[in-house]
Amino acid sequence: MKTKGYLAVFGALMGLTVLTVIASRLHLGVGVAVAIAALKASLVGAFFMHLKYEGRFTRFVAVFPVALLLLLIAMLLPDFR
Amino acid sequence: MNAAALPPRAETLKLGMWLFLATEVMTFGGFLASYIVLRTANAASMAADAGRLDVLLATINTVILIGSSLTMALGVAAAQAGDVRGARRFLLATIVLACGFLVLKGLEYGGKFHHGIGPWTSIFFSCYFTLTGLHGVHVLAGIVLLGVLAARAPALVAERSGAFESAGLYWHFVDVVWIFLFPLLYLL
Repeated sequence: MKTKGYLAVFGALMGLTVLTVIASRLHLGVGVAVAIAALKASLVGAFFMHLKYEGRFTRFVAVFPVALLLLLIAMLLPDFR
Repeated sequence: MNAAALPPRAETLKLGMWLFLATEVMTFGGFLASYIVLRTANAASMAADAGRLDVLLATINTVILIGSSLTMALGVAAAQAGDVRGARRFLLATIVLACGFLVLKGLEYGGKFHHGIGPWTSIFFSCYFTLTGLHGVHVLAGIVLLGVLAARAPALVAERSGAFESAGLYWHFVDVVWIFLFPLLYLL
């Protein structure tokens, strides 16, 4: 990946940052905020952390803990709704 | 950029860093899950407290930290191309931005303390100081790590150690944590 590519990813991250602040002003809620954050994190992971170019096992090691964390949150939430 | 071009030892170091980051996901995740549960259970009071945070400072800090991820990525690319000077320059830029992040975070904390707000004030501020504090410590550790890398850049670049790639992974992880903390703490 060339410098241009990294700059493009940075530009996208800046755009999404503006978007999430606007979404907050419009009170679009937690779903939109988390979706934008997840998209930003995916961009960082895929391009800055080179996951797009890594093998299957490294990708698995990167993504699996996130799945476990989502499971943890999903299992905790119903008790407090 | 071709990951396969690195020597096996460097690939091992990178995989080790990914495993370390997996433990970090669960560390931050535990605190984050606590916050989410507490926030769900105390929605009204938590939202009122969240409204007292400085969104402008946090937004500027978001731009700074994502910018530092860019300079870090460019530094890793320079190191991979064998460009020691370029790698060092981007590392220094990353360190400067990281310091800027901590200065603004310090101003933010100072403002809160000035108004008598601390981790003891409420459940929200307890969560706020815990999450941003743990993240801040990671930024500080990152500054030290990047400083060591900058000092030893010539040898690390020459032996294609994977040190730059691995430090980059750590730094981008700290950025990703902030990408979630920013909306969850400041924008809801």
